[in-house]
Amino acid sequence: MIPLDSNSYLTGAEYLVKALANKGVKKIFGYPGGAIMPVYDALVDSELDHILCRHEQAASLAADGYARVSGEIGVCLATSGPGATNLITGLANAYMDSVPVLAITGQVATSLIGTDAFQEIDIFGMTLPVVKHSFLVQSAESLPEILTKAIAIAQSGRPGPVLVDIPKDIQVTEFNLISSLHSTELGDVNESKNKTENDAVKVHSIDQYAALMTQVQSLLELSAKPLFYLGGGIGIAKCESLLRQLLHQTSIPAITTLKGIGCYGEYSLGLGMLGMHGHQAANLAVQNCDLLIVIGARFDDRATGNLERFAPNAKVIHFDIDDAEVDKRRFADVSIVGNLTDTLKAFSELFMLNNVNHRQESSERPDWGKWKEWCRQQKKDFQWQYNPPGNGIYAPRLLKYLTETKDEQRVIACDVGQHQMWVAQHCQFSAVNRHLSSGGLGTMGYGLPAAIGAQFAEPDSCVINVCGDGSFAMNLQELITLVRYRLPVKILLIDNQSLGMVRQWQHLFFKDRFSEIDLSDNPDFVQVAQAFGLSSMRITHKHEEQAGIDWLFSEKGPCLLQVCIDNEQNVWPLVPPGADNSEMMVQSDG
Amino acid sequence: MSVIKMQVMQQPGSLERVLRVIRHRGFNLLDLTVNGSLDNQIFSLMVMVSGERPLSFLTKQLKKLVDVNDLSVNEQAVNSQAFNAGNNPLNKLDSHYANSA
Repeated sequence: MIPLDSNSYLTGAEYLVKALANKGVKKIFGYPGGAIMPVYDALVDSELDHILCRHEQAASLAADGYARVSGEIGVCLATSGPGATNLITGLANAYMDSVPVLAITGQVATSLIGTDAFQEIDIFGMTLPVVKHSFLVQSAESLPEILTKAIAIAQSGRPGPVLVDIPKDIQVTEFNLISSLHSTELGDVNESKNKTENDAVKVHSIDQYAALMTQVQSLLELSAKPLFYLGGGIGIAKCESLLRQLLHQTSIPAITTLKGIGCYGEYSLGLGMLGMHGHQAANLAVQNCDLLIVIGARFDDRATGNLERFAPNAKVIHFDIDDAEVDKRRFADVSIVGNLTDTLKAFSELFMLNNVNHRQESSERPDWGKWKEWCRQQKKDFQWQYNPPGNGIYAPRLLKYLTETKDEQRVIACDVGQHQMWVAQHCQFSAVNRHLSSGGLGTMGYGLPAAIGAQFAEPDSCVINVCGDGSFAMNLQELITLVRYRLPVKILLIDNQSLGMVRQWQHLFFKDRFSEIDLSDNPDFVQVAQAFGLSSMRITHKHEEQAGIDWLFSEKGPCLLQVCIDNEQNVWPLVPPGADNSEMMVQSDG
Repeated sequence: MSVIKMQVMQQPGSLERVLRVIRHRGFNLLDLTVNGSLDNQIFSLMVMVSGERPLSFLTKQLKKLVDVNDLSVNEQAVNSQAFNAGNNPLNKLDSHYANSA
């Protein structure tokens, strides 16, 4: 291995792998091919761990899962053409959920670009809508600067995926590292690195910041029914402990988005997730509050329901790092743009100071006691019910069992569909990065690759992929990856032999005209898992629920528990399209 | 109609990114002027856009582009015929652009 501090010549590929390792990257998820072969050659001598996924989509999703759990950048690698296009879903997934992912793609040689060469595709152009930024490398000498920028951009401000497309000739070109590094260090890397963050902070001068906090204070003074609306930004900003301190100080009720789940731990005034399949107490609290304090959330349509009737009586205070989210879907009476760690700290200090003043001046601030009591009552009145009639397995109850045993390190990666909502509703999470869910893009097939990434990030943690039979089949080839690397990922397959969420919508909103949702010709997944080398078992009856979960936890290696459920189980409550969040359908399946 | 001017790093795809954001965020592109600088590192870009959404919906997204700097807005209605006829009112915004053309 050639050290980076010598006055030596390296090829682009050699530099790439060495530099990634030097920048703290430990794992790369990828798949080799023609235009990336020099990089794979360099990997032979590298200290980087390359994880061979069996499809580039899975590699990019695994990088996403790795990044979410570790808090570090996730890196994926693919060849040109189809290898690169297969990455796109994973990049879009990371883009929608603000996950720092670096995608490196091989490209045909510079002289061939634009000639429709074998496996040439304009991946730079194709990915423009789904990356935070991207680079087409035009010289080996520019690699150090580009790589430094790419990693910085992916992780700074509101994180996101960055693509670096490297033509094959540049991968094999030797260049003088020292002269190149010199220009990089003195160049505008730092400027680029901090652009997003600085832009966010620059939105407010110090004076404006103080003025904003005064406005926050005024709104709090006037509010009788304040509510925290907590989103995924809290986990991304790694400010959960600060948030919990703030909740403790203020004792204001709180709800979360799908991506905010886990942020408040066991907060007694935490009412759960809001939205289309949110908790009734959470949705009713939003519709009844008079002040919504939004932290790191973006008023997603699945969270708000009918936007015009969302939180109709509420003023809004919006904390976010991304100014573009402010006023995008809901006007904010006060917006505080900046890193949540800084802005929440300011809010916390303001509240403490304010509270002291209250005691001293016997202020006329409305009493929040009644509101808190009302929220507690909603939480109590709308507790989940787990005892429907019949002897079949009730998926919500099974998922409740799954997280009844406390394990701070346990990670659950879901796919997309009914099971995803049941996980959000019925599983308990100690932190945001313990719950991996494709929130923005809604990517079926996310769960297994994400679980692989999570297990690599935390080899000793219990990582569970909860999936449906539709999603499971979408990246089923990754069972090979589980076995290859002996990853003890536990797969909980909730099998209703149909595309359950689509079926539910066709039942409710398309007059039972079922179209292409029947998956009853699925193979025997227990046998499939065994053929790949996993241990597996199937449960079908109510009385097997606990035993099935116990078996899952007792297995030491990769395993699959197939849970057969009735295909008429629906996800409740449901806010139908066009309705507001107080108009929840809560029909029981009986 | 609004005019947005910005300084854009001369990088592969930087113009595409700006145009894509304008299209994707629901604005019509009515006119476009690109002026390169002598060192070819930055070009100035002026776009005239219309749309039903508030202009800040677009400008906030444009500001996030890594290659875009110094974005400013002139929301005064502009006659697009004058824009095209060489009597470009945009150039009056900043003589630098006219000089560097």
